[in-house]
Amino acid sequence: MSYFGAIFAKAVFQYLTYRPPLFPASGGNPYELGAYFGLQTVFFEVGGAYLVARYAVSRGMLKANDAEGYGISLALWENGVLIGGSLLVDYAIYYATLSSRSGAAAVQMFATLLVSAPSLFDPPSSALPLIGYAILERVSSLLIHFSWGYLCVLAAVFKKRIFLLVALPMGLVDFFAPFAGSLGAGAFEGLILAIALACVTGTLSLARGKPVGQGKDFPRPPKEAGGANMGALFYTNFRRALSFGRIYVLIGMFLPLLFAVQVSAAGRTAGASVLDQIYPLILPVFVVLGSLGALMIFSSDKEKGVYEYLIAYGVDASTIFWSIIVATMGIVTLVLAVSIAVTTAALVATGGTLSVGFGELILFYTIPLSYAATMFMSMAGMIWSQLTTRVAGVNSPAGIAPLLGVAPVLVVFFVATQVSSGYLLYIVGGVSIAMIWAVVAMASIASSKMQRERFLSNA
Amino acid sequence: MHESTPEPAMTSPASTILVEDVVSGYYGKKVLDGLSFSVTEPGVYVVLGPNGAGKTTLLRTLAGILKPYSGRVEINGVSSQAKEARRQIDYITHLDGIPEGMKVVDALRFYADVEGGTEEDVARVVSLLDLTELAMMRFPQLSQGQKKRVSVARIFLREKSVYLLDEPTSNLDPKVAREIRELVLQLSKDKVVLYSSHNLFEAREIGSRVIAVKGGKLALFGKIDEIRTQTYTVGVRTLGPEASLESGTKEGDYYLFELKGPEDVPGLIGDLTGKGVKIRELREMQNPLEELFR
Repeated sequence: MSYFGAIFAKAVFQYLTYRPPLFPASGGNPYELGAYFGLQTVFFEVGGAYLVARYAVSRGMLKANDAEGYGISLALWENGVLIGGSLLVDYAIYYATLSSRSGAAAVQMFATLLVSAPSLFDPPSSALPLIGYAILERVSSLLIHFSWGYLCVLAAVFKKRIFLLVALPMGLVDFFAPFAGSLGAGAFEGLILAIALACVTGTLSLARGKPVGQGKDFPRPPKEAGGANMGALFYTNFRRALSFGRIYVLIGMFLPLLFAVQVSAAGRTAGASVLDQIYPLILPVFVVLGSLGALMIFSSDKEKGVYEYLIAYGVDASTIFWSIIVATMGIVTLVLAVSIAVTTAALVATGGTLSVGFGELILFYTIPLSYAATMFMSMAGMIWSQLTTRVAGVNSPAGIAPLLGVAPVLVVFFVATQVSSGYLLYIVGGVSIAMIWAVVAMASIASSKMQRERFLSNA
Repeated sequence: MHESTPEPAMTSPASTILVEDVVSGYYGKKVLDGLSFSVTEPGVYVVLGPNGAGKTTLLRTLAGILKPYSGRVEINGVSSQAKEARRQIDYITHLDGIPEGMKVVDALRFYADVEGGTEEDVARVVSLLDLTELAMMRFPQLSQGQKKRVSVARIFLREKSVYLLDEPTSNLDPKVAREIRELVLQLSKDKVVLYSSHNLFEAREIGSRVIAVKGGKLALFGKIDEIRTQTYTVGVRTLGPEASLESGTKEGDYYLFELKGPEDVPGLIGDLTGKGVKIRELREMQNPLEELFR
């Protein structure tokens, strides 16, 4: 009901709006189109899934331990019925018609398919990779539908907005749909899979330890020690990181505005050019600075003995570590969203246009590097805090770690000014990938070295 | 502070602690070295020892924070490393452990959430420890005594069967220290409380049994009366030279006085101020535990 209600609503909405004058017949700007599709999925699919889950919970038809089933059923209806079922019927008709090898109907269908779906007639060597990508896309879809369905049920059962707030942006995955052709199948499916894996990881981390079989209408046994730790820790740490590092969050969000105003004052054409080409390269610096709060609370909590208590109550050391990383990511998302919105608005205000180059820089450099550089900074700072006695002020791990985060950004910025623009995307893409690998390597090192003693205060 | 005993939420079984040939420490370095004892009856067991003896390491090992390198630690028959054992334990350290920037009530909610408590538990503890006026204050605004009271309040959020309290009255004024000891005594009626201290006089006030640790080994496990106390020496530092005290013993800037115990300190202060002595500082100069562990 949830899924088909959403698909029906989307179909009606698109029937009414996806046409001139809102959209040209050619489809229009891919960014606008992406936002159009992404927001529809957010509101109709994820929002619809939540409303249905909430209704079912209120009627006693859904419990927390139905969350997995609900998520998987959304994925099933999308992939197994709507796409799989309709394609099966289509292919059966194609096969039946074309296998007759004669007649006007077969000739007409062959001509039509040759234009609309030429890959159907590819030889096996060309068709196999496409089949692989198609399977990958369905796997990604399954993971994403599962994630938001699961979180919608938890949001409805436990009445915690955080689950819904994390689920809703997952629908923005459809923002990338208009870019499938320009990115190429490999890059596009890789991107979608990465997003899907991030959704599942985030979902399971957030919901970790959440007791099942409970809800408003069900008897609630006493929670066990450490049972609510990840969700509670994430939420508390996120709020505290915002409050603790508010000055840095403000710097991260409003320095871009100041910069944009300053650049704009230089003249419309020159200002737009700087914002379009250079500004996406600098944004991660502001994001790293803005996200310092979570690392600061780690350093403070460790010294104040908070983690000693948490470990004594049964919270794993790795849970503490990842709760800080997740809180950091939450702030990165906030700062990025505001900064990009400000930059884009400044770009438009100074007479610039949303070029593909600008979009590519934001998508393939600014966003991934902001997350990677901030995670790198947080992990380095936490590991450093664990290995050293406390040093106050700017010499502390929390004081020096941001330099580790901004260093690669500044290096890229310097290199980018020395090479021709044709190489820019390769450089920034390479650095993004290298930073992501560095973060993965550091995460695995941190996991293996995470002795409980490291979380005890030196005081 | 209210006089009422905390209302237990449920009846817990008899509590036991088993420590058998335990070697434990930090980063591979031994602090406890072959420690063994067992506790089978409720009450306050004072863990005594000089600084560096291994008191905190013992409590951290019992709390499951440190994993012993060898030996066995069991709480109510379950390894201290198991979550089931940790649910039986509450623990406070010499650190307040209150997250910076939080209001008192939010800090209690935070720990209640982690421990599986409810809003009702928080309200009960706020009332029990008379924290109503402090509830909306942020931690840095509190005095040392108020901070300690909030820190101690945590152990009343959920009922446990074993309480591990690491120097809960350190750096507190005598009045607040006494209030906290009263709360601990109420707890110990049907619970096991391990209470670490380096002050034998405090130990005698709160407990009847002692676990004395020296160099990571068990020095004594038994009744506190078995510890032979020597004199209690305090040093008085005055604002300037005091001719009336010059005939006595002096160590550095401190004039030394031998007393029977801390209960004689107010009398000494009264005598000295009566003679017009201007006291700048008064401190304990000789710890009877030095005799015990000599």
